Amino acid sequence: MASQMLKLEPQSAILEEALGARLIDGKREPCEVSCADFDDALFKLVVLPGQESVLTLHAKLPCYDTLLEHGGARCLETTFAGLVTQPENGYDVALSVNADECAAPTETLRKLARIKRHLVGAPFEAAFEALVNGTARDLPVARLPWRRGESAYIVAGNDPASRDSWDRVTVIFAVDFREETDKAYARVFLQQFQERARALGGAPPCVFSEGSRPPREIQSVGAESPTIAGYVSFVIFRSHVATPQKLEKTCDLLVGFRNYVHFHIKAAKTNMHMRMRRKVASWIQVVNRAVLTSDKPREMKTAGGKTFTRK
Amino acid sequence: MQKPSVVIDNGTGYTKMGYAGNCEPQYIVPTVVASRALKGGQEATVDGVDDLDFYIGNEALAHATTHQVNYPIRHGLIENWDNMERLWQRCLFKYLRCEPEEHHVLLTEPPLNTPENRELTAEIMFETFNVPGLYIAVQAVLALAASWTSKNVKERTLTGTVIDSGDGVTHVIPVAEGYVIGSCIKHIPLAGRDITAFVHRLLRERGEPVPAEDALEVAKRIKEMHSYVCPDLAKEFAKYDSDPAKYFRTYEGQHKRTKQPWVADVGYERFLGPEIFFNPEIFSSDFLTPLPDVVDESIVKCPIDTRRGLYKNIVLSGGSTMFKDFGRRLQRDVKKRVDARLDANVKRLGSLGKQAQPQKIDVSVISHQMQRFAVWFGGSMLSSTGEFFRVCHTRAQYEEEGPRVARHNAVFSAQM
Repeated sequence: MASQMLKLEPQSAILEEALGARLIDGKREPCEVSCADFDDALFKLVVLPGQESVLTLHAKLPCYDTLLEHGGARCLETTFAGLVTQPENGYDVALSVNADECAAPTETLRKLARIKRHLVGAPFEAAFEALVNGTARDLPVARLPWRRGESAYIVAGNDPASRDSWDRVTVIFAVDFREETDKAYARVFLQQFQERARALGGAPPCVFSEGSRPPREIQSVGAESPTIAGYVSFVIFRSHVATPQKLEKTCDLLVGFRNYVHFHIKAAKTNMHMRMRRKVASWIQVVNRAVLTSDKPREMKTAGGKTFTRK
Repeated sequence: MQKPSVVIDNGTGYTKMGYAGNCEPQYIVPTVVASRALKGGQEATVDGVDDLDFYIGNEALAHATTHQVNYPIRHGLIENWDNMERLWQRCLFKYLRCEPEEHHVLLTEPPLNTPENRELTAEIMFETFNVPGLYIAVQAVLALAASWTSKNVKERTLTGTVIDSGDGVTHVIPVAEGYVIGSCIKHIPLAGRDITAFVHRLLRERGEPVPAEDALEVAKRIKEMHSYVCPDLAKEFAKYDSDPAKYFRTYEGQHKRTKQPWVADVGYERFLGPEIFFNPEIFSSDFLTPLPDVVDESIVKCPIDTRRGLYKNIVLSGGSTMFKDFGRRLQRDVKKRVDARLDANVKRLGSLGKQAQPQKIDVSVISHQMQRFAVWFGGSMLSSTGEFFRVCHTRAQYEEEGPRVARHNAVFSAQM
């Protein structure tokens, strides 16, 4: 089975299409497209009439101030160098590009469509780069409150055997759902997830802990409410982020992890409902079959027209 | 900041979806789901990721060889709830990338949808997706709302006749004060697909050098690019014959396999294609009533106090109403019929008719920019107003009352 069905892409396809038409295919039309994304993100692409080649993308991102502190500011300076402008009221950041003067349209398109991945992923990237460069010791424990009642934590850690190795970064997600049913699904899903991850060779070790027992690493920065669905920790070693490609992929997956869980829970519910519908249909069949028939002998007719009594 | 609502218009052929407040839907995909066939009619053991092994839209059509393709909507009504739930799940997560818990949802329904269907829809939306609010709007009413963008519209009314012509079938739907008059809806079995077939037939009969395998696609392109509605068939033929160079167009293409370029003339089919609405006998032998007559019949069946409003506001919706001058011709033909009837009635009254001259009936057909996605656009417009959040069925109501909340409509405060 193709794995593309399982994952959610890191880029916003709506932005990719609207920007691509202008950056690559040379469309010059004023527009105003607003769309949302997971984790409370909002985007608005504005092309004003009269200056059709200037594309401005306004974005509202979760816990933007915290993101800026932990690598977001650097991401704006490097990845989005020269594009940052003043955002509209209600948005956190704006990027502007002139389609006529854009030197590398394909690359710019990719960058802009993945704006959420770049900025939300910036703290992860910063931590993993420190891990690769051996400066993980200086990493502060980061807490990104990126949803209501749900945070992500990034903690540098040691091998229990050798105290000063600083060879790992632990990423911990506090996962919660508003509905009790969803919470229950999430707990089962994450437990299963942990089991499966254990069976895979090269995957980062993954541990699920109940909401009432938060992992020890995050006690210094404060845990979430004990009623949440639980915590998932991934331990990322140097080997998981050794090459730029690996680092990129690890960040993609980590940024999308919460949405991935959400997507799967809804799919599981859909599947459950399908089975329920099928069960109901078969029970109705049983009920229909259970019509009382009289035991008296009945007079029947054959195809030839003769009559006989069935006893 | 209020999160934008999600507007999904599930049609028989295509699903239009996007965020409220935009002018165009963000995605238009075929309403198709391709899933793994059940083994021997039994569900496969669900272990792992079987629950995600399905495709929707164009991807579904691309996987037709390995999966079972199903159109969950037939004649506008949802038939396969399993696949519909899957379709919505993909629409929300893969295409729109929204968390359904955070966004209000507007869905559409055809006129004469059953209350049971509405309940099932509400159940899926609230139970599976936990949406905070849901509104199920009638497509024809949204089309009326979309016509408010036209510069010819002076007052924003929800009374009017909606002519909805898509790919498969054309409906004439009278709406009074937002209520669909169900008994007066008329259907015409002619729509976009038939125009394409007719253009295709004309091209073939004339022997244009169009490669056979592309012919239908070419006919569709010609229909979309060059067609218009003419005021008078005989005069139009005369015009073409007197000055062919001015009116004939050409269509250039390349043979897919041999890469040979070819050129076809585009002639009378430019105006003959859409003419099947006005003179159906040139195309079909079993449906012979012209569209203006059907519109008139439908309005005449309606309650008498609504008729003037229905004539005054005839609204177009759907891709097959996009032809140039379609509205103008329709208006003229309906007006002609209405005036003739009025005059005949006055004449029949004799001297009485002179004493009380009836008021002329005002017929007007509204064309506007948003015709193609009129229903979606109407939904997008209405769900970006503050009023929308007041009339939605909310999660609290659903938890209190159950799926039957969907039978109630807060706009009209009516129980269905």
